[in-house]
Amino acid sequence: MNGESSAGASTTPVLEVRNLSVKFVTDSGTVLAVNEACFHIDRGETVCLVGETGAGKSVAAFSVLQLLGAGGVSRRARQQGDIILRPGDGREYHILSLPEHELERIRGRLISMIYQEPMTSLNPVYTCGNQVAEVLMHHARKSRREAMAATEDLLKSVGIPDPRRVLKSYPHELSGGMKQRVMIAMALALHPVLLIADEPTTAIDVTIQAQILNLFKQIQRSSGTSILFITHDVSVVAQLADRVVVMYAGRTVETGSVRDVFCRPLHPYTKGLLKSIPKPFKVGEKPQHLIPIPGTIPNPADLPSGCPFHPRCVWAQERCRACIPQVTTPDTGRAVMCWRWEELQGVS
Amino acid sequence: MDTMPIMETENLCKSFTSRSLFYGTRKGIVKAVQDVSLSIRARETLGLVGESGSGKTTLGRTILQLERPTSGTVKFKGRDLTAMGNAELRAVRREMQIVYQDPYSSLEARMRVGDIISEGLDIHKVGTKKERKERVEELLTTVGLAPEYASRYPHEFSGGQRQRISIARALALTPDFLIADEPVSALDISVRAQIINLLMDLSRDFGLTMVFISHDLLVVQHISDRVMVMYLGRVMELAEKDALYGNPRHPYTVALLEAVPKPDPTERREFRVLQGDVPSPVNPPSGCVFRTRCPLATAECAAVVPELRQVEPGHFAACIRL
Repeated sequence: MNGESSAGASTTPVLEVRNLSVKFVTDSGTVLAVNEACFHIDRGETVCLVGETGAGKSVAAFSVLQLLGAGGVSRRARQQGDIILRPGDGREYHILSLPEHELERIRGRLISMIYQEPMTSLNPVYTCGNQVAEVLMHHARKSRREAMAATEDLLKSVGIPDPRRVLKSYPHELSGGMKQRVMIAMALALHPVLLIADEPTTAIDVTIQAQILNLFKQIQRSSGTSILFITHDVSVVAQLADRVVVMYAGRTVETGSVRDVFCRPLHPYTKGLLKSIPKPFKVGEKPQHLIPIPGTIPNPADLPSGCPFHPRCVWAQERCRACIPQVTTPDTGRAVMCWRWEELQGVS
Repeated sequence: MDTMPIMETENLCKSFTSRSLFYGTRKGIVKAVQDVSLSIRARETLGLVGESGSGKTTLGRTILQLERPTSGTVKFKGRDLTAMGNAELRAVRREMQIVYQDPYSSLEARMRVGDIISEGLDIHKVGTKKERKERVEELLTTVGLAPEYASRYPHEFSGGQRQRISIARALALTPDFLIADEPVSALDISVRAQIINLLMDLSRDFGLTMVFISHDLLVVQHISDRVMVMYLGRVMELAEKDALYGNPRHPYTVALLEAVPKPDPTERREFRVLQGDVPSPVNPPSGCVFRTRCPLATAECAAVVPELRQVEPGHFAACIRL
């Protein structure tokens, strides 16, 4: 796995996260936000990181870009494990040990990010054109004129109907959906190998969400960029993902292809999550009682012993309370962190 | 099911004056709710859906007289609420309650949970102190919390638990009518189902009439008997749930349902989407408010405001092209 073979460029993952742990040392104790997380993203693939509030999905993603706190990494953050980026030119970056000036070359150019809140992630005092062009001027060393022309094309490519107007608009003059498109244009400006999208459709309405999801589908088809898409919305995962990584209490509890995870979930948490959402049903059918997961998500500063899901798991046993389950790989491309997954197969 | 209306609105309108930030000069009038005539049957759950800015929250608040309407009437059990003074309203408010969206800001942080729940009982002087205490404990049990929680403060609880406290508070005075304004939107998915089930059980057990406001069409389909779709302050369509989801008539409802992603990877598709954004409510389009995004719009749509009319028994839509 050192990327030494020549065929390696196309088969080795673009990003590999190995046993990543991120802790924050706070005055009221240590918060374990990410705990031995493992996942990878292949070239051109869309991986959805799904989980609820506090599952650690955003922290894991921010760790990939080393954006944990102002100005890089907060002094309160402690990271362990390995994050390996392989842009496909034969090089390999071990992100956790890179100096800041090298990280700056990676951010925006090799990996770019789309944030959840289009309202707050654009700078209110610069025009949208300025903000997108700045990326091209800073990283691609384009002149202002070239950058502006390229920006106009970019805005057009993300489906903005009148790019000239948007170029000169300030963020407050645009709707939420339009701002999110500007953010996406900015993220795509340098043709990154990996695009990280942190809940990009959570703050917008359903008809606008459909537009943005279509845009992501278009990016998947036309650009070969790998996408790490973070969301808590199971329906969005079903529509976009090639593979799914389910996180709970900082751990990656299940991974697999989207069909495997949705049709044959192995981890009790994944099973519970899929049963707890209302499904579209046919006319005349009675809605089935939803089956919620009992209890609430554990506090990351005070995690339960053993399997972090055991207090909410109906199948928990003594073993689950005592020790953390090992990660097993039932099939190629699948992984599950549960002591009892095998005997619970097919049980729902 | 009892089909007597418990709540009726007639041509209900609510406008707000939008002022500029610095000098308070009038910028325009936001017509948040326009011409809503609606009758809500006793014991039904009416789902109210629409995107942000569609006026669903304002409609809920105007029905309860938390906002006084600009024009139109609201009748609760045959009595006109819009004609009542504050003292009279206070008495009626025992029978109608609301659960808010954000379980973090809707509970007073410096009050104990027990005091929050019994505040309505105290105001209306229901029972003795001891009886009120017992009632609080009973309510906590009803919503699935331990009675001991009465002496704790809201910050000690998770979002889902706080929403349970909010529901207990709303039920304290045994209301007949409950407005739930996006009660699960701020909650995590695994907890959301708990609250949806709780609301469904309570409305059945207590014979509640409920208006369930949400932007989540799957949740609304799950919980409602009838569904009303709003856009820019106006009612677009109103029908029994099965009719609305199975045979949507208004082009906006059709588009809204098309835009909902299905939680099934074997049913993947490109979304057929509406172009553009919701126009500003300060300056809504003339005629039909939806015409600027409507695939069926003609010149006539700009001229007339379509009336909500019956297209099939019990199925209403506001579109001249039907």
